[in-house]
Amino acid sequence: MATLNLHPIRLSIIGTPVVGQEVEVRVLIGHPMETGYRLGLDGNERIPKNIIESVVIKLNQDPIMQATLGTGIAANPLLSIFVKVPPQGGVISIEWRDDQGLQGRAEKLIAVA
Amino acid sequence: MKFLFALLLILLGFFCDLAFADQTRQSGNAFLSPEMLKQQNDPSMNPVSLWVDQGQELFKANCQECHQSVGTITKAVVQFPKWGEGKSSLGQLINIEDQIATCYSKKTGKQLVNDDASILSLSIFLSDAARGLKIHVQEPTDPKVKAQWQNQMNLGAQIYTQRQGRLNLSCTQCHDQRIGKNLRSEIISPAYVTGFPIYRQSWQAIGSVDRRLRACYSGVQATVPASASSELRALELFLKKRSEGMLWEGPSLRR
Repeated sequence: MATLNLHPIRLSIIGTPVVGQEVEVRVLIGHPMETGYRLGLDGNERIPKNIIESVVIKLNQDPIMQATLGTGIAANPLLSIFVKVPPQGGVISIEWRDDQGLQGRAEKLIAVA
Repeated sequence: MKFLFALLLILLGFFCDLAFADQTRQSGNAFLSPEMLKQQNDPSMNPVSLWVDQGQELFKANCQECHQSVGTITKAVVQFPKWGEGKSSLGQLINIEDQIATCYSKKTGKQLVNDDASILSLSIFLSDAARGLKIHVQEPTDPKVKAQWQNQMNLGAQIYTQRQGRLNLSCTQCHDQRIGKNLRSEIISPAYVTGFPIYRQSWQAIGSVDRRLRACYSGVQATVPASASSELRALELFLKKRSEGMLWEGPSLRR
């Protein structure tokens, strides 16, 4: 039986990549981004903090963007960057890691005609 | 001449009727800001798409054995709430999440609550596949059951029109009489159930009709009924019947 993946991820490339031009890459990460400030239903216990701390986006294994997220980012964050398409295209990959040590990754081919 | 005049009247009546129908039956999408609508219609930006993916995987793993393809059961989305026929739900109304939870426990042996992410994911996946179907609530055929069903419908209508909570408001005062006006920063939309489950930004999570209605109770500072209580199901039935004939819009994004 398949169980629910609590941290789904969706990486999309917007439009048709053209060599030398910029293409938009969007990533949606399923993550609660719990700030640690909220109280649980009983009104006493704080819901433990659970925040994505670092996001790294790589193009053909080279890091092109690194971000540090914090408690100000909403749940299920949406990140968007513009990437200059290299000759022959390439593989774009994203990795995230949260403060509880959980990690997730996704990758997608930027195919050029 | 008289004939022509009569024809004109009939045609005029027809167009007025159309205009009337359009004006009074707007879905919640008509009240979204252009930015929200854009985000809702673009799966690369809409968080709901994460759960559509999840629901699809769960469906493949758990449901496909009995329901060959999702196309065979999408019409259920627009037919619920129905009168329960199973052992656990005999003599009461059940909505689609109840049905999914029952199926899920039969298949996996795990009894999940309706707000569980697995149940909601499956509901979202079905709802997404049911886009464009016409809402058509199923009435029971057995006259005895039909009378009970009608009682629930009446109860739903009564809840909808009854003032409650510290704000002393009924649903109908806003959702019929003040459509298009502002309620704090929100524009009031008519209460048509055309696109559930929803991803609500203020919840930062997905939720069913059940949760949405509980939030309404809390909004007027009334006692919030327990999840899956018969009161909520009766209200859901009434609201779905109110939306009869409207097009299903799939899982939606709300503020």
